[in-house]
Amino acid sequence: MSRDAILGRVREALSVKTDPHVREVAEKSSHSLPVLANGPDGRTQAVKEFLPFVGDSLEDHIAAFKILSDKLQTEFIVVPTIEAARQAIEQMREQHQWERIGIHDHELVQSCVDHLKVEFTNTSSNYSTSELEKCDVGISGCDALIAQTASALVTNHSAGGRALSVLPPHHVVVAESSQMVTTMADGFAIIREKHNEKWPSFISFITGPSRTADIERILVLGAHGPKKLTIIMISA
Amino acid sequence: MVNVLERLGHQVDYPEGQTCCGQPAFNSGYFPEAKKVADHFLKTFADADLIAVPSGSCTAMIRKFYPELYQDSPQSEVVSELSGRVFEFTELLVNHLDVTDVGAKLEGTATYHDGCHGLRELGIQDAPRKLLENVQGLTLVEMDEAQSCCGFGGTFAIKFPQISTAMTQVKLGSAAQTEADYLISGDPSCLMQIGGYFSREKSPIQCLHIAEVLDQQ
Amino acid sequence: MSQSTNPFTQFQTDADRVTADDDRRRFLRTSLRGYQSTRTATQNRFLDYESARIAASDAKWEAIENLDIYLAQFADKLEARGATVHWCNDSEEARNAILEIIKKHDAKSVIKSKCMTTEEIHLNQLLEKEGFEVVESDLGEFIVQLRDEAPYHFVFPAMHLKKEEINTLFQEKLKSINTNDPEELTMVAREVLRQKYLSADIGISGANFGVAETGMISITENEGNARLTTALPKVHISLMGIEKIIPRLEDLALLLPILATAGTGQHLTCYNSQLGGPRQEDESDGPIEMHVVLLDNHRTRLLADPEQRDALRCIRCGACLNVCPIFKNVGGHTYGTTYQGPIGSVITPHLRGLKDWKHLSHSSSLCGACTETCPVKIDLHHHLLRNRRNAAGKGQGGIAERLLMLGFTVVMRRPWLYRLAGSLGKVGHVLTKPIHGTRIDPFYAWKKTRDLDDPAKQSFRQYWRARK
Ligand code: SF4
Repeated sequence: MSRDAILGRVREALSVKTDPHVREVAEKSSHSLPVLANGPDGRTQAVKEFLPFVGDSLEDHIAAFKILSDKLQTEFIVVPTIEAARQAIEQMREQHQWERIGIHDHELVQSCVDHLKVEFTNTSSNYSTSELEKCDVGISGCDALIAQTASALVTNHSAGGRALSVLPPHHVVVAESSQMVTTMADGFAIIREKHNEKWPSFISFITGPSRTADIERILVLGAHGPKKLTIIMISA
Repeated sequence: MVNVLERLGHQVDYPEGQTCCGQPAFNSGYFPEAKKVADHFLKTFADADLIAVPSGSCTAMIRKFYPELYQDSPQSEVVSELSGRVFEFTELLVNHLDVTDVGAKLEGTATYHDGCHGLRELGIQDAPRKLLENVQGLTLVEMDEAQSCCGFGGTFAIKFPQISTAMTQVKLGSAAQTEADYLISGDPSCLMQIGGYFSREKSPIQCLHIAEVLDQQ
Repeated sequence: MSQSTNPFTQFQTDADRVTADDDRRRFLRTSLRGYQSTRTATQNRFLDYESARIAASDAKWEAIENLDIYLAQFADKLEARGATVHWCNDSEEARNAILEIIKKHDAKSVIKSKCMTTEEIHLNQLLEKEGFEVVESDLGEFIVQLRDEAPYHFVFPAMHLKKEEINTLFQEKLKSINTNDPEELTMVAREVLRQKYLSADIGISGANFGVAETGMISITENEGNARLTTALPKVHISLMGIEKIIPRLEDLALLLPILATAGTGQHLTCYNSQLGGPRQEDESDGPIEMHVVLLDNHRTRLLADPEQRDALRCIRCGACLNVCPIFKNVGGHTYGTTYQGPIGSVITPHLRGLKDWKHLSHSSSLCGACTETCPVKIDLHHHLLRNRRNAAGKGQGGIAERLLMLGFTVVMRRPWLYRLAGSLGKVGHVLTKPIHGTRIDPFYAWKKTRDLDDPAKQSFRQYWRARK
């Protein structure tokens, strides 16, 4: 079997230890590395200690998230209450003349849209892709907001499947401030805990609206995914 | 280099038996051949306290690559000991003799080209600039391609002349933008490449080795 | 690309052409200068980039040095989630595995998101020959596919093209409107590809990482095309080299920002998705089948080299190309390889044979800019040197070079000969004056574009003696 053949070759190759000289040369640096814990904790620690600093308090995190969002052209709105979120969404509906909205079974999402007089496509059970494609916007929840990268962390559970957050031309995420965490590693920890190792088949860090710079390295938004990303955070 | 060191009160000897560090063979992949030449180097320089080298490239060969050539050989200790005594000219002055002003004078503006070996194998970047800043009458202007390779690369320059020349062309463009009178470097081989091309292209920029500059009174 | 079959001749011919094209070279330089400045700014935001880099480098070492364990774990976990894992020794096995899946589903059209490994196994050619419609969905890949070209750069596939050229291409092939505006051009492609997504039966993607701990692949992208490729078609096939494995999910939290920073200068790319299996019972969409095709194709040969297995840690960020003076002056197509630039020059001899590809290791000034920039600290330029050594050791340099090196050693070990050679050189220089600048001048290759100073009248040794 090819599996055995390949693993066999890998094992045989590894039976000769890596030339210590090469490893040393590759690693040598004038720089002494702070001591890291072994295993996953070490990497988690590295993310916290070496990657950009975004403070420890919620205020700091929100500020950092805002700065990066501006750069990414993500619309990041902080509102005090669910009621305010409902109003913000209603305003967007008017402004962008939404007629069909993609949603899913998600408490926060539902309570933000149940007053809207539009057609809905719900992606929580079997739905038609072509119908979702006709939606003006997809509104979803998320598992976490990542301060260090200004990302929304989603899975098929928190965001109504794989397509709702990418197929319509506008993606709106609703979240609560309690969902703000510092690093991507913290985000993984949340999913780890929530799903207790029964992983969703799709996890994604969404960081800004879809973009490309494939033509002369000039930035264009909305290459294949949404041209517009709005993150509404309800502060408790 | 000898003049400068003597002016600073050091005793300099030039072992007449010296030839080459062996890098041309080494860089072409002929390691055993390079090692034979290195053997000769080790013999010739066995007694020196400090070895001053007017080239980042040769220094890198001796300090960084000799240990690789001699790993697992009985001489490996001699080699690692020797590699601690070899210094490129500017790092010797600045980092070991603590000299940044050698009392040199030269009128004009200059731009500095970092030789790749000196820069990336040895980490020499500030030393030559400190020395040049203290040359009376000389203004140092950085070019944006200061750290890009000049295109020499030993046999590369002969085997792939078109690429090698294209690289020097970029260097010339960048140097010309600074409107410098001189392009200074710590590596004779870079200067041969850059100087050769600049002169062919009739560029008014004069190419000088940093030791030549520091020797100007 | 030239039609020559000999990679070395093809390299030289193409290098001649591109180095003579000042305009294109300037274009490349300008766009890479933009990359350099955004990257520097992003890197400066790190609390400690150098440490982050070492930690990232470490994660990949751990994976490669325990590849047997992690690879098996990766496959087992994925299969437990309902995916099918195909182990393929070489390109042909991988091509056949993929073809079989497509045939089994009676598929007509295939949509692809960016995957260099499919270039490596020449998948598109086979599928098209078999009569399937295959569409590249990454904008850059789509453009080069329309031009019937290979990607120019494995991260920026169409970086060599100007917007005017893309305009002409789209008008010709897509009957699009006449516009040089990158935004309008992008929208043209978006429209065309949207339709393809909705009708495609099969989605083929690559993978940037394979997470052993959880059995997931991780895909990094900006456009959203990989997300659509893995969400809409009923079958998802992912092709990946066996070296893409990393130990744990948390490693991504470090590697993804590092990859983005080094790759494009972004702090993180737009979508970083982890996919573990097909649609699960409690999920509402996604493919009904997921196939992961694991490819060896001589990677184990590189792994068996204790000096250079280092190169398998590459995360394909493309940074080494972006800083490489050779790449900037000869461009991507000249390499004639799937993976261009320094990393390509290091690994291609291992994947495709040293004899035919050693010239890539010689076509470098060993300046070390690649090693300096590589986020996972691969000893790139020294590996080029090691390839040279291996080629010389096998006598692949040719007899002339061997003799030259022998002569060099003989002379350099004997000071008197060295001095004699110096004097002879001077005499020779005078004697050959009449032929200087002609093709039979021994220094012709040098002097065609560069001057060579006349040798100094007095050698340093003579000066030294006089001085004493
Ligand atoms: S070798 Fe290093 S710099 Fe080059 S593509 Fe791979 S990871 Fe990036």
